[in-house]
Amino acid sequence: MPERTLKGCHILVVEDEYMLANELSRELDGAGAVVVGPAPSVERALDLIGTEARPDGAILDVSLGGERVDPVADVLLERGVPFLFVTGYDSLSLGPKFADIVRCEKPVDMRVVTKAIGRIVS
Amino acid sequence: MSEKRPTSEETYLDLLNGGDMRARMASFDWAATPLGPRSEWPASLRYAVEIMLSSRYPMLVWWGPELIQLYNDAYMPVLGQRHPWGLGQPAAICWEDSWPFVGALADAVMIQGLSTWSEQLEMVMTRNGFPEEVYFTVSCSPIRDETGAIAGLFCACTEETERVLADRRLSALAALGERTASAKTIEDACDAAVGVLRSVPRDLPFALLYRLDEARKSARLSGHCGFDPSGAAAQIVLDVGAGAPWPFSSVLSDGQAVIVDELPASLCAFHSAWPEPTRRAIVLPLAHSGREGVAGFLIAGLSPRLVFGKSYRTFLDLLARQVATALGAARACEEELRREVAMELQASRELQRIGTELEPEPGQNGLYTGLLDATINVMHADAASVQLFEEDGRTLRLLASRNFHSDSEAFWKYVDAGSASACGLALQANARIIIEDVEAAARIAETGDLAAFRRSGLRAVQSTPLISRSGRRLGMISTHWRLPHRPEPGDFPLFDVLARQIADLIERTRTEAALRESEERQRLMVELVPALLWSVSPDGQEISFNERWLTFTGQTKEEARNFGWLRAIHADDRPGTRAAFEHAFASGEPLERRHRIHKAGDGWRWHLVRHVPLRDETGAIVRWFGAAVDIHEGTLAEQALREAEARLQTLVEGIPQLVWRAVDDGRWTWSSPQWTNFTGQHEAESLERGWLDALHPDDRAAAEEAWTHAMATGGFEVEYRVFKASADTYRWFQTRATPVRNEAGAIIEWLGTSTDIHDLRELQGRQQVLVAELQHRTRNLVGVIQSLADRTLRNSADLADFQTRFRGRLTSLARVQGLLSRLNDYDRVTFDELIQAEMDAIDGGPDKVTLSGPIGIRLRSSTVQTLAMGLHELATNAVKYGAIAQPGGHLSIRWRFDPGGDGGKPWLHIDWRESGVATPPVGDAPRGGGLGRELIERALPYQLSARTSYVLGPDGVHCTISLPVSATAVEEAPHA
Repeated sequence: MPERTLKGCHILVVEDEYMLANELSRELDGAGAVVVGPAPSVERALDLIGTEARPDGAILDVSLGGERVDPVADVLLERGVPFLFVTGYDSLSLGPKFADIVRCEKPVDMRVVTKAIGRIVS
Repeated sequence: MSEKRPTSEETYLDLLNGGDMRARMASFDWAATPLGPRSEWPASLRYAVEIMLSSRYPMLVWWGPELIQLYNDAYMPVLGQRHPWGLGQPAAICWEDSWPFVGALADAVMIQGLSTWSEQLEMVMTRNGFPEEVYFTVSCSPIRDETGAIAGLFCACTEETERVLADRRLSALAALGERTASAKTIEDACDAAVGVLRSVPRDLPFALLYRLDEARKSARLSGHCGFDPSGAAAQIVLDVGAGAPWPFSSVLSDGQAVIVDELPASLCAFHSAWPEPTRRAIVLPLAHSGREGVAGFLIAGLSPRLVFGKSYRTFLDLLARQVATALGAARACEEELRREVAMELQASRELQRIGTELEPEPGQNGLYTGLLDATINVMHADAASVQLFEEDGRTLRLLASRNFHSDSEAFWKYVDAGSASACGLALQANARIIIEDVEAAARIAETGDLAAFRRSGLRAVQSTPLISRSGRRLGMISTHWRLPHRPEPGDFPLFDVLARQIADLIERTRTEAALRESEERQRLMVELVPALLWSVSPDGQEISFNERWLTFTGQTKEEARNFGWLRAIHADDRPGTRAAFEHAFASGEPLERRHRIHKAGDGWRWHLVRHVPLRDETGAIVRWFGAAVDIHEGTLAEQALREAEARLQTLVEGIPQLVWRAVDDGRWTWSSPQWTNFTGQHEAESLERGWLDALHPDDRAAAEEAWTHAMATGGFEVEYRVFKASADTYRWFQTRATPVRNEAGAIIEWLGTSTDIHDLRELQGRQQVLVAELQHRTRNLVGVIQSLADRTLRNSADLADFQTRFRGRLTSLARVQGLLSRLNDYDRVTFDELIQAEMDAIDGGPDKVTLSGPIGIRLRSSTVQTLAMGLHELATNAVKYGAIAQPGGHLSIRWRFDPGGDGGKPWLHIDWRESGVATPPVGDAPRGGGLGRELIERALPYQLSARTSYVLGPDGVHCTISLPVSATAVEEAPHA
């Protein structure tokens, strides 16, 4: 059960749109997860990764106010942190190294995202 | 001894008159010299002096270390003006001018003790007051004193000047005779003579040869040497009168040579064997050989280094006589030639006369009979015959005879080399044969020939081969006499001329016959050839056309004459044709052109015209021949083709695509100017596979790959980057090629175009980005709306409340989207636009709201939506509960631009202050669900890195928002 698996999990949320970040955080919170962030930018996200405990998973918006989230994804890959992408782009190429990463297209149903992150975290 | 030395030169005589060295030496003050008084001289010196004084050879003694000079009477002329001063002088002083040579000679004797013998030594002596060219044979030997040491030098000299000069002059005279002997013309004789004169520059510093004209009024320069011919004195033609620079008139009247003593300076500057100028000359008459009077003048410069004495003068006289003789001989030669020519002329006139007389009589026999009569006349003979070689070249056939008995005529009808007749013998010998008396000739005895001679009553005969001017043997001409006769050599010249004329006649007749035949053949050909033909005289004046021309054009011969034929040429072509023909006639170059010729009753027809000169063996144009061939159909088709090609060319070169042609798998055969202009490649560079060089290196493989499929698929389409030379960059092109196939369907070439799709590709790229961006933005927006809806729903009392709030928020969002969507890449939404739009929506009224701040502050696009949402919430609250809702309330929105805000970046500071608002007690739940405050306090800092404050004061809301904005030029005009 996703609710159970997310319970107590630290989930990093990277999303520049406040309303969406807020909504996602609420949803994760409701699922018992501990939200790390949310972070509106690459810089902030990297800060959080550096200062907080290693997250159990992450939800990354691909485009953050014009900058790509790739540097964050790279670090997470390196550290073996499971994550998924949330993107408004139809078929924006994310490069071969992210070919296996789950992608949720906006507008997202927050529960779907929560379930998806639950699956990959477990 | 005081013997005078006889000499031909006057100057010598002068010198000898006062000379007596024995007396002079006796009276000389020897004590004043290093030799000391004569009584104290050593015996060897005294002995040597005695030998010297008693000799008639020029002798001298040099004595002592100073080489004090002593000499005899015969030596005086050698010393010239140095005598008597030279007596008792040291040799080095006396012979200062030639000491380098003489001194060396003296050293050889005095130091080495050698005896010397120098033959015909050339020396320069100033004995006569000028440096003189002299020659001596000199013998020197040492004189030893009593101790055996060399104390002096004994020198015996023989002057050889005259002998040397005489030899030189004699050989010049001999050469003159020899070289002019073969001259056939006066001109040759002059050239030969001058050649010899030039070879004796020491006797003739310069020479001019003038010949008098027949009228003896002017003289013409016929040769010169050592003379600058541009000077006035050497003008080609000189008047013989008193004004002439040379005394011609005096020479003419006296027949005597005249010496010109002081040549003007302008005449002296000749190249000469000597450094001194030639100041004197002699004008010698050239006698008219065999006639009285003067034929011309020889002007001879006189050497400045020779005494002009008798022998010199004699030489020049002989020279002049020799030249005159040579000229006379040459003149005689010329006259002889003229006589010969005159004789030939006479003979030719005779022939002409015969020709004219016989003209009315057709056939040649009459003509030959006339010729034979002329021959009989010239040779004072009684009969004559002319024979021609048969085609075998061995047998002679009788062509015509005069005064032969008919039996003899029949007997001699054919004669071969075996015949005993004169002509048979001449045939054998290939030379003239004379038989003085046939009865006495052993070879003829008892032959049929003798019978034939007797039958005709002939005793003597001569036979001469007829040789054409080209050297071909044509036949034989013979004359016969009734009495034994030996023709004198003087009889033959006129006969030979006649014989040559007869040979000419025979040859011409044969050639004419051949020519007539070929002309007839040609005329037939000309009429058979389906062309318009003509021939023109070299000057273009006299022209004749073939019948076809006349019927084709409808012109008459008269109309076509004198360039009248030009009227049959199309008016547009006429000037060009005329110019081309005039050029051809002037330059002799063949002509080829096309023009239209009018066909009577039909119209203009295009013709190809060729016009070529026929030249004789000297290269002179004899006649022009021309032909015009109808090429009308071909020309029209060709013209149409050319026009089509020109149109296509214009099209191809006019379209913006780069066009090219290729064969096989992409070997280019042509590229359009567009390609060369665009790539900077020359056409030649682009050919074959050269075009690949203009492609981006990364795209070349793709281009070649496309060609490998082209032949199989019959299509070629590929996109690659082509180098643009003017911009030094590559641009994308779409390239297509279509195969051109022959009738069998095989591909023979490809026509290709390359279209610049660079901008299109860029646009497409940008569009993709924009579409993706739009998608992203739209999806985010939907996400935001979703979340707003949730939010609104959570805080709404009922659906009606939800509807009002949600619609307001949605409308605000739509407004922002409206502002954003009309932007292009570089535009930004300005803050005043944003706030104005929001204020317009709430309809606050000017007394309620004050806006104050600069216009044109450009907001970052990513910030607009969230900022607008925040402001909307603030405004909605103000309308519902705050400054706008309450009667005494007032809303003041001020903003300012800080170009150097945080991080050195531009910031916008917004101050939202409501006043005169009765606020609810602190601690009440935020009205409106608190979204406005949340957005200000949390969303703006989160999303826009804004710094915000939100205070609900007793007088109303006071909110500040500071956020980074685009770098911008702010218009300072306040917004109000």
